[in-house]
Amino acid sequence: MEIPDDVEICPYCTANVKKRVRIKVLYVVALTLIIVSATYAIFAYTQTGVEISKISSLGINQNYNFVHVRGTVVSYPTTYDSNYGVTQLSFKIDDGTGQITVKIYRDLIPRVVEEHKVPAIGDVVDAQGTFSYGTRKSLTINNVDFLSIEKGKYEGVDLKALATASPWDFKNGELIYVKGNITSVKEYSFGYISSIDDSVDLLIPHAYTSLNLVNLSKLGSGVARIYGSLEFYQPKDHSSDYIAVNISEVMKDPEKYNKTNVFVEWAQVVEKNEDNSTIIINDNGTNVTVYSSYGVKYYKVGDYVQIQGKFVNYHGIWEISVTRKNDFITEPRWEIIMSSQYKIIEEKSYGSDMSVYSLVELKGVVADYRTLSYGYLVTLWANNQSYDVYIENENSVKGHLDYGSNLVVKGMVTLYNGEKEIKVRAYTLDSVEVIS
Amino acid sequence: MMLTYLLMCILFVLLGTLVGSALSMLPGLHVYNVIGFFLLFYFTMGLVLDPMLMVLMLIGMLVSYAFVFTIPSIYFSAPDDSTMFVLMPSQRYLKEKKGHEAVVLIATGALIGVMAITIFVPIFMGVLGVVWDLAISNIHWIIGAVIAFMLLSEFPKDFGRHKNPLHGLKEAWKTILAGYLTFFLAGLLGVITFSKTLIPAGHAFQSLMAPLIGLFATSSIILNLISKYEIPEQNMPKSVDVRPREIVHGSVAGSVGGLFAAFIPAVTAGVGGYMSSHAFAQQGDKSFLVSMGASRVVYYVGAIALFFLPTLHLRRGALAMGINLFFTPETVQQFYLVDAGIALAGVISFFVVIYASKFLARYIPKVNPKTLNIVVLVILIILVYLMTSWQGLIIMSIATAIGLVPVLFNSRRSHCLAVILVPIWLNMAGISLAPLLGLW
Repeated sequence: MEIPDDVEICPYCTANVKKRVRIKVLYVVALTLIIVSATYAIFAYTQTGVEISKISSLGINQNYNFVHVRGTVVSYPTTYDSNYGVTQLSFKIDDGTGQITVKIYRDLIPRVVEEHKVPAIGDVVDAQGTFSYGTRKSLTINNVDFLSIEKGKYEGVDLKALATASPWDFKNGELIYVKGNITSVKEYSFGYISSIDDSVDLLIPHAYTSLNLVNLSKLGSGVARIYGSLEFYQPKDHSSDYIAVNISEVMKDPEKYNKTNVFVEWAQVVEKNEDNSTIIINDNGTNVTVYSSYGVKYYKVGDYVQIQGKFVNYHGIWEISVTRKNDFITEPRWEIIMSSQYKIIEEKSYGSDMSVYSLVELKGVVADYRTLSYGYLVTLWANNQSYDVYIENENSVKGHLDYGSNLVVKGMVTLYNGEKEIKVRAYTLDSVEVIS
Repeated sequence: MMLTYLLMCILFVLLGTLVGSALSMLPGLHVYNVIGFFLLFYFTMGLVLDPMLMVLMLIGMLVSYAFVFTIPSIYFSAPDDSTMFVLMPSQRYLKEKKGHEAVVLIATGALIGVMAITIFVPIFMGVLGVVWDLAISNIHWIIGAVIAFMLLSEFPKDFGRHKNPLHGLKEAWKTILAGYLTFFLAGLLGVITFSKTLIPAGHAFQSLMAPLIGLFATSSIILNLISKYEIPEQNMPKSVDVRPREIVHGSVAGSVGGLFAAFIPAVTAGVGGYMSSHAFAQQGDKSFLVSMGASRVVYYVGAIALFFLPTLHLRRGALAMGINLFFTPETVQQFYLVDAGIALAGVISFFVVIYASKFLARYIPKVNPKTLNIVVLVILIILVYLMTSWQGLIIMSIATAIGLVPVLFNSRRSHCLAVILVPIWLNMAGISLAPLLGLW
């Protein structure tokens, strides 16, 4: 039964009901919500972003606030891998006033990867997210749109020059690219340490392999152009109670430095005597003897070393004595922390060419083998001659290795002590297959 | 923000509202059940759709559900935990040929509820933050007080003259004891459901579906099947028999009740609205229906607005928890977008519910009520089976039996809400009955 809208008589009991509410009036009230909706939409459209904060100014009062920071990435990204895949991605940025760790969790990580927003050292990052104040400042990004990356500019560097460069030839964090072959791969908790042409170490952060940004098999399949940042790697830190000295200055007035703890930042080995455990190092034309109670067999003439020890007079000869707990001789060097960028510029395939850095495939019989801590050293009899095969990682071997086993070896020809050997690199397409 | 992005946001709100409206017409199907499946689908397609667009689509679905579920509650007698409070008055309206008017009253309350959320909640966000800080460490006893209110407000009913005083006493206490029995059994079912549900692990996120449908929907339908009733031809008025004062009174009461429910875990829209109707001294069905509409919307939609409220970010309700699996609200801009979406979805849902009601009011009387109820019952059974497997059907049967106790003994059906209240209250108080019941 249709009832007119102007009636004030109850349609059911015919009672006089004043002020009945017309449904059309309710329609009008409903339509006012369109205005509310439009107003909010305009607010959203015109809303400008949050202003950039200085990292040093973020404190306890900003805890859990939505903040906006901009800075340069100063640490390579790290990931937390669990049974559910990569559940956390983090990296550190510095805006000149302080540092903050940027964190991205779970479902957002694939989106960050998809949009090529996984940063590398040297990239400039603009990030907005929830700030957490604690022992370390951190910023959690919850929306991929709130992360933008400006990629750094890389400059080409000669690999050989880099291998012998002094600490002051480059700057930490300098963005470079080099060209070379991956000649070795070892895995560590933080990532992979590879060697480029057996001369410069390359750190490939786990984050890039976990997120499939770097494919080690592909990287090892030819001559690659590799992008990254430089870091001067010093195995041990300079202790504050050792004076940094220049050898030429010390030798001008050795009595002055007698029994002084000294630190030599950079010098070249010019002579080695394993019998009396000494090496002679040269710094800007001045030589000095270094005695090490730990032995000197690992140092070669031409190596660059860093030394911390006591300057003493031993039977009339001035020398640096490396005998105590805090004393050391190390070989610091420039290494590359890889970004996620690389390009294979010369693809190689496994063949019979035995020139250095060629990929080779050999079929032969095991004449001898030794088990090493991670892999094997095999003497392979093939093509009527013997080959030294160094297997970096036992996981590269498919099957049980034994004397007389027939093998198919895929590896790279490298030099070891000036002799050619076939290196089966771990985590690449190199492999050893036991066929009988 | 790009204009195209804003238009995409509006499009997804519309999409969510239309999908939600269509699904909410199905008796017994709670939007949270559907959203669970949408989330599962989204997680597999996560890289394709912008999270904010997904959020707005889900909000559109929620708003439309808060409005449109009035239709199956009234015309198919299949209420959920919040619409069961309006079942009695709305059934009365339906029998008095005023089913459409009942829908209009509830929808009007809902409309004003949306206004309250979009206009007043942002104004009082500072106050709400303080209130939440005060409430957060006192939740357990607040829920305890709500339970106490529900139990203590059950009063002895007098059904006329008795053979002797003892008989009178027995009759009066029968309803109270039946109510307390319902509360105890529903509470026990809730503890079991929350601690170690029978539902297979793959469907565990739907574990509340079977008990809720059993307690509120199937019990009502069985009552309809065993009682003789017919749906008369419905009137189609162009005005509703209500004074503006009653609308305002009902809306304020409902909004306050809904906000209370949105704030306090375990307290649902029905309980919140019911408590506020006492607090606001409501009289009459009209104001009550308006208040229930407002309470329901403020409870469901308000929870999501509180989640996006810049100073609060209070995660309450299954949708907020679901959204939080892939999205964390942070900016004022997101809050504006959400409020714009709520208001837009509210308008559309209002018109959907009015026109759907007009359609059903015209055609429902032509359907045999028993046939209609059997069809609805079959739909519910199929839904429960599909979403919770045969174990869900067992739970639904038990819940139906519990839901029939208050119906047959004339006590309050609100006692069935113990299925949610009791386990969450115990959980908040740090008490676990599961080991005692041999569940862990």
